[in-house]
Amino acid sequence: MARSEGIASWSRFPLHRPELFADLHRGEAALTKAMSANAKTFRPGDTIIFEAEPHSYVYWLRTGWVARARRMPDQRSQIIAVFLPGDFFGVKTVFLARQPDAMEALSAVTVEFLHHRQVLQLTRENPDVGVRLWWQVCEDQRRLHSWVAGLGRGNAEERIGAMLLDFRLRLHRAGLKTESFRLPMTQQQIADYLGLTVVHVNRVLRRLREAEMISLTRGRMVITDMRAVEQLARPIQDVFDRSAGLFDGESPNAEQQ
Amino acid sequence: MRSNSERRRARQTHFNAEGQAALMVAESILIALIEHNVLTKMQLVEAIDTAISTKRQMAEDGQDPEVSRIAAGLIAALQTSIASFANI
Repeated sequence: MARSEGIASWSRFPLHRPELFADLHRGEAALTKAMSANAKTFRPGDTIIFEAEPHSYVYWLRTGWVARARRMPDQRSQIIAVFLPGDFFGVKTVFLARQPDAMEALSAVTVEFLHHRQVLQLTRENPDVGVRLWWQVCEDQRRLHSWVAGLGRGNAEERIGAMLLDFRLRLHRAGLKTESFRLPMTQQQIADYLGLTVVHVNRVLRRLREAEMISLTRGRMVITDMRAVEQLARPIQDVFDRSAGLFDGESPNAEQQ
Repeated sequence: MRSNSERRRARQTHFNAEGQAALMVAESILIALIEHNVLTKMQLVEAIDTAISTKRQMAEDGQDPEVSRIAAGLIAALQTSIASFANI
């Protein structure tokens, strides 16, 4: 993930009101600059924030993938959100002394971080920082709304289609290569994200491969039939994801609009 | 010569593998039943309800409560997954 100063594309902040682009850009630059003094790496499977334990830091994800996960008393687990390079996470730490869920590294991860009191101070000194964090929370919430609709009403194929398009689009917006991308999640983790079992995930992925809609070799995902996967995901996508091309001009969906 | 604790661990690993294999075979058969239109997903979801409530009752009754509680969770996750099966 390139540092904010190097990201000039309007697509960095999808759906935003264009007049806020400069604020968002400046806010991100100020935050990442302040965080750059504190970097830390984690291995796949490491816990970055422990559920219910006191925590003091807000993070910027420079490289790798991170999951917000909840473990239930009977050992079921649900991955609630997946953070990709360029996302801020743990923002709620400014308000909450303890995080309600764990944050876990899905892949090798590099984060930069800042104490919540410094984040708050920074937002007081520079309102653009607040705008950037506000945008993060709003965008996370928008995706979560879609996910509630998908988990509540979507079938397994729709969920998998929507997940793949979401990852691909967000990686694209982060300026990363998406013709093929590494999907650093085990089938069990995908199952935990989609509310399915690992057997069901395996069955659907195999069906999509047999239909030549995707290829997945050694963790490398290629969406080989974009139109078909978009058709699959469309019922549970929100209006913004369905028409992403209208908003950022660079979406892989753009030709469909 | 393996120690008692190593033998216990090996036996436990074997039990875990048996449990995983059984659950995966059962689920694969359930999926095949839906795909071949033998049962609808709603019929299966209702049938699985019986297994969940039995396991939860066993946990309440103190019969291997820890194992029963986790087993009920696993079956509930399977039920949720079956309920999301497409086009049936």
